[in-house]
Amino acid sequence: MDTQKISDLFKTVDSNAALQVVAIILIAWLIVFLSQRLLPRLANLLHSKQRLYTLALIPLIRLVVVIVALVMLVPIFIEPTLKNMVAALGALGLAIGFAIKDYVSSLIAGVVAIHEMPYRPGDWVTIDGVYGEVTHIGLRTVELVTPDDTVVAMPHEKIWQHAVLNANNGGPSLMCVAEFFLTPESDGLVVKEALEQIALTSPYLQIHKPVVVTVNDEPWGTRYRLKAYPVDPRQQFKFITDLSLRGKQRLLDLKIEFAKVETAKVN
Amino acid sequence: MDKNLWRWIELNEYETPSVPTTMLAKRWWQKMLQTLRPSRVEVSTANSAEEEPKGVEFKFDEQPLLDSLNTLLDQQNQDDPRVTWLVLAPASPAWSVIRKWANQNGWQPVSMPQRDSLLTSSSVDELNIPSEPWVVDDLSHGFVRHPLGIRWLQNFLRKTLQTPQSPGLVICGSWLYYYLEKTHGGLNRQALTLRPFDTESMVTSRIAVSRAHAKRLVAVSEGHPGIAAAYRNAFAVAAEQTEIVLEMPQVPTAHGETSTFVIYALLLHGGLSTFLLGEVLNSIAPNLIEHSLNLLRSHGIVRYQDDQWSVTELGYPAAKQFLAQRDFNWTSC
Repeated sequence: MDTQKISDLFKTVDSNAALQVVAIILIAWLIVFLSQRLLPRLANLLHSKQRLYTLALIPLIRLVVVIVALVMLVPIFIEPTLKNMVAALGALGLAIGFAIKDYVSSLIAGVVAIHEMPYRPGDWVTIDGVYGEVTHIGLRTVELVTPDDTVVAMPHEKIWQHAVLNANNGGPSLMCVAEFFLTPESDGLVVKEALEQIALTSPYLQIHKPVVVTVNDEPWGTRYRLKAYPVDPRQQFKFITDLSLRGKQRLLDLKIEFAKVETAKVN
Repeated sequence: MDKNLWRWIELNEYETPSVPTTMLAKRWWQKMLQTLRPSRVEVSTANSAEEEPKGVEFKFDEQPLLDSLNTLLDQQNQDDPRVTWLVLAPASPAWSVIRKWANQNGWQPVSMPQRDSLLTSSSVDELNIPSEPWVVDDLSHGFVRHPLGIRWLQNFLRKTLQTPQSPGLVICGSWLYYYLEKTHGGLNRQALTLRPFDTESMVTSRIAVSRAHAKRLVAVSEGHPGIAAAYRNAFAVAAEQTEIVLEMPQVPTAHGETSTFVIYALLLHGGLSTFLLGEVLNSIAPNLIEHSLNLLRSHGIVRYQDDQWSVTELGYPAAKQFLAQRDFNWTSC
C-alpha cells in the first residue's frame, strides 16, 4: 500500500471537523472522569449489594462512552466505506502486531473482563498470587488494594494466562476461615461446639450463612478450620482476627492443648 | 372495640402494612440526603423518648389482648404438651399482658439464671421444666451473645426440642427469634406473632385520632402498635389537624460500623448493661462503644435507664431501617 493510497483513506479535516473532534473527546473524557470520581464516592456511602452494583457501573459506563466516541470520531476522519474500513483496519493491525501488541492485548482483555466479569469493583480476588480488593477497572489494568494497603496495577491480559480466584464473585458473601492447630488427643466434639459458639457470637457474623467446622488429621496433630461469613466482605480481616483471638482464648479456657510443630520433624 | 384487633398469626404470615407512595418517596429522599451528607452529626430536633410526653398519655386496654390470649391458649389442651412461641416486637404491649395472663392462669415461670452470672459460672445452671404448664416470659434473659452466655439458651432449645411433659409458652423478642432461627438450623416450632396494625386498626384502637393520623402512624411504625402509641404520645395531634408531622430521629452515620453493632446488640438482647454490652462487643474498643452510645443517645435512638442501654420506641423505626440498609441481620417483624 503506497503513501498516496493511505492518505486517500482520510478525509480533509477542516476547522469545523476539528472542533467536533475536540468536543467529542472532551465530553467523553468528562463523562468518564465524573463517573470515576463520583460513583466510587457514592458507592462508599452505600452498603452490601448496592455498593457492589454501583461500583460495577464504572467500567461499563467507560466502555459505552469509548465505543460511542469512536463511532462518532471515525466517520470524521475516514469515509466509512467497506474498502476504506478494510484498508484502515489492515494498517492498524500491522501497527498493533509490531509495536503495541501487549498494550492492545490488555485493552482487549479489559473488554472481555467487563463482559465475562471474572472480577468487578468490590470483589476480593487473587490474580497471579496477589490477593486484594478490586478498586478500579481501567482500560489496560485492574487496580487491586492488598490487605496491607498496597495498590497493585495488574494488566488485564493476565486473564489469558492465569486463573482468577474470586472470593465473593460480585456478591456480599465472602467465606472467612480461621485455623486452629491442636494436639490429636483433644476432644473433637468439644472443640467443634466451642468453635461454633465463637462464630455465632461474633458481631461480624452474617447469620444467613452457615457456620461450619472442618477437621483434618495431619502428621503433627489436628487442624480445625472454622468457616463463616462476615456481613460485609470488607470486614473479613477483622472477622478472622475476632474468630482467631476469641477462639484461642476459649480453647485455652477449656484446657485444650495446641499442637507444637517442630519444623525439623515436619520437613 | 374490634375483637379482631389483637389477632395471633403464624410468624411466616407476617406482612408489613403497605405505606403510601408519597411517604415512601419522602423517606427515600431523607435517606438520600443523609447518605450524601454522612458527616452530619447535629442532634435531631425530634423528641427523644427520655423527654416527658406531652398531653394525655395513650394506654392500651389490656382486656382485648387478654381475651385474644385466652382464645389462643385455651384451645390448647392441657394434655397437649406443645410449646408455643410468641414472638414480639420491641415495645409491644403484649410483653406485660402475657406475663399477666400467665400469672392469672397459673402457668409456672421457668426459673432463669441471672444474665450477669451467665458469663461467670463455669457450668450451665440446671434447667428444670415444670410438670405443669410453664412460661418463659422473656427468653432474652437467659442469653448473652458470648461463648459462655449462649450455653443456657442452647441447653433450653435442646430440652424443649424433646417433647416436654406439659404445655409451654416461650415469649421471645423478634430479633432474638430471627437470630436463633438462622443460627440454630430453623427452629421449626409453632411460632406466632401479633398481626400488625393497619390504618383501620389504628383508628379502632384509638391510637390514632383521625384517619390521616392513622396513616402517618402506620407509615412510621410499620404497624407496630407499641411504636405507634409512643409516637402518638410524643407528638400531640388534634383530630381536625390535616398537616401531621411525626419526625423520626435519624441514626447518625458517623461511626457507622460501631453503631450498627451497638444497635443490633441492644435489639437482640432487648437492652444491655454497659458491662454486658462491652462483653458482647469485646472485639470493639470500649471508647468507640461509649462514643457511639453517646452519639446515638444524643439523637434519641438509645436511652440509658436503670443501668440498661436500650433502643427507644421513637428510635426503633430508624434503627431498624439503618440495619436493613446495611443488610445487617434484620427482621421485618
